[in-house]
Amino acid sequence: MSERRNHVGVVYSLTVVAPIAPGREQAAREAIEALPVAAASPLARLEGLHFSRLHVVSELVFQGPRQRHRDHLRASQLVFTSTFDGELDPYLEALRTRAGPDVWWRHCAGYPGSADAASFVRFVREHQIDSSLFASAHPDVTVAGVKASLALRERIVDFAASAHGLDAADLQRRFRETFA
Amino acid sequence: MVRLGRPPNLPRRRTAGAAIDLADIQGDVLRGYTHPSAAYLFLRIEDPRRARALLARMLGQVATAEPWEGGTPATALHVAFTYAGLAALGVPAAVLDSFPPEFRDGMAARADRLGDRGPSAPAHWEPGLGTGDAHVLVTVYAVDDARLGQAREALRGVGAAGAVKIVHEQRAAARGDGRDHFGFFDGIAQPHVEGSGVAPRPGDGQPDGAGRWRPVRTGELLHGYEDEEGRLPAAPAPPFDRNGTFVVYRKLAMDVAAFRRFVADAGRRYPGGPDVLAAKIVGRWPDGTPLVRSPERPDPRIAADPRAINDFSYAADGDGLRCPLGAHIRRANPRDAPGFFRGRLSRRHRIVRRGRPYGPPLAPGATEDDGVDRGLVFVCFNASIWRQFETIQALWIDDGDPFGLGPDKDFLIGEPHGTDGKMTIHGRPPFFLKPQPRFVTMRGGEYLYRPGMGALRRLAKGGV
Repeated sequence: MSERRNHVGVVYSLTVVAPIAPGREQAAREAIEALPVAAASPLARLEGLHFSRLHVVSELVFQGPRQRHRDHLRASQLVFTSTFDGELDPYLEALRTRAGPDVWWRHCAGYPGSADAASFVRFVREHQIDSSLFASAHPDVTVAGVKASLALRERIVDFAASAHGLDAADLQRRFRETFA
Repeated sequence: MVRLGRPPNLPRRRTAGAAIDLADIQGDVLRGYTHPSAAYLFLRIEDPRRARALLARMLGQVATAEPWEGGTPATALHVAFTYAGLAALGVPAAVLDSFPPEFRDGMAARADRLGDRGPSAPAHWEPGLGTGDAHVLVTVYAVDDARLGQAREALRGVGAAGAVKIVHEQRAAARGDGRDHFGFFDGIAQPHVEGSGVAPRPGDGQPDGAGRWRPVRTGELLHGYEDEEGRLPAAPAPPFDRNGTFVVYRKLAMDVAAFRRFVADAGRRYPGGPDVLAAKIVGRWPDGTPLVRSPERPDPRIAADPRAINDFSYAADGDGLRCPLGAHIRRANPRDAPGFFRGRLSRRHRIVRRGRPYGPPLAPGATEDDGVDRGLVFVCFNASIWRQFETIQALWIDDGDPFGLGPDKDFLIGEPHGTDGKMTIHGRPPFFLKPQPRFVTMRGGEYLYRPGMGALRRLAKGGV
């Protein structure tokens, strides 16, 4: 593995699989279910975050055809994934201080809480697994870049919608006025 | 001779042997009726014992899916229940708890994820819908308004007094020509359900990945049969585990004058003119010709041919030059569109639609609203409201991401969202419609469960 592992372009992919403490699976599920979504999500506070997902794996449902042994999990696992701009350490610091990760990880065995930076980072790194298959449609574009591109596209669409049917001279004049 | 509301280009589907228990299934699940008169009565249960007695007396009028001996019956009646209704009838908690969360929540509680916001929000719904008062939906079909009135009175006569109270009533008005109030031929695409004994028209099923069509597995529509995953679909506890289905009821008001004004106005600027523009928004021409098959003009040979009108694929139209990626029918039923993996990502989101127009047509050519309520009573059946109807409504109608269209919503029926919404008519150059105007407003709805006949009898006896 190169030191660029878990990277595609400017994006880092974090995968954390942590065992849920005995008897806490339902509480973990309810904590995830109760998280606000969209703009109200605590993860929406992290500017460089592309995507993040939380889910519980309690059973290895599909193990391929005709297995001699079926594997069973000794504990349900809480899976946390994030793809974000930049490097792991600054992201973990932002996650720790601004997104309130105790809400979900406090149901995991051995979670030290987020008050102490060193032990929090140690917990995440201990349960991190490499993101072995990770693709990005736009590997060199940051979240800020994506948002700027979308805003520009809307400006162009607005321009096009307002300029239908103009002759060439008017179209050029309007274009210069709008995008000067 | 009773004249039924069937358009000549969609003759009756033939029947063959059925592999499922038709006698235990309520009738209009597997095939639509052409009775020109219909009414939807929402009842609140006032007295469970009397309501069960009323249900017992109604049982004989409930039509099953068995072929009709001796032609179309003068009336046919169907019964479905909301979660509140099953609870009011005394269904025990263990059975109630076996129903899925979206059904227990009810449609009003799911409004935000469905896009029922602003003027379409439950706070503005018509009385009796979305409040917990609607317990039972009785759907009455009749060959004419007189028979409909009789059936409705009979319902009253069999002892409804003190048993139930009508909290909401909606009449439908089939238009004979099969068109909706916007003037478009509607209700063409339906999934061919495996084992139903109803012979399919090409396009009724799912794309088989090899250019042909195959039936949709029975379990996508009815509980107790294998679904597209080859498993029995999650179903409520007995006796609701077989031959039942979930019903989605939505009253959608249509502002026909606004649609006509918009098409005329934007059509002046659109190079193709207003008729092409309207067809691009819908995905079909008014006569039903699919744009994918004939993007320049309606083709009467296709529209008149039941084997052609629904036989089309989006596989070769990945850039939407023939039918826009955001056209209404392409969003609601993306078939094998690129990105849907030859239909593998659409096959678990099929619904059977049994909607009907309501209200009188707006005068031809009128572009000012006449203040008369008109629109569509949207009714669909599915084995899972969440996986089927809600996925279509929330992800395909109220969002554009799955089609590469960002947050744009269905331009025809989606809930408008400020100045953001647009529709792209793909072309060189493309043409943009922005912002999205309001053509359709949600007026109220419910999630219901339509039990099989055996379960209905058990409910009537109070033995659940």
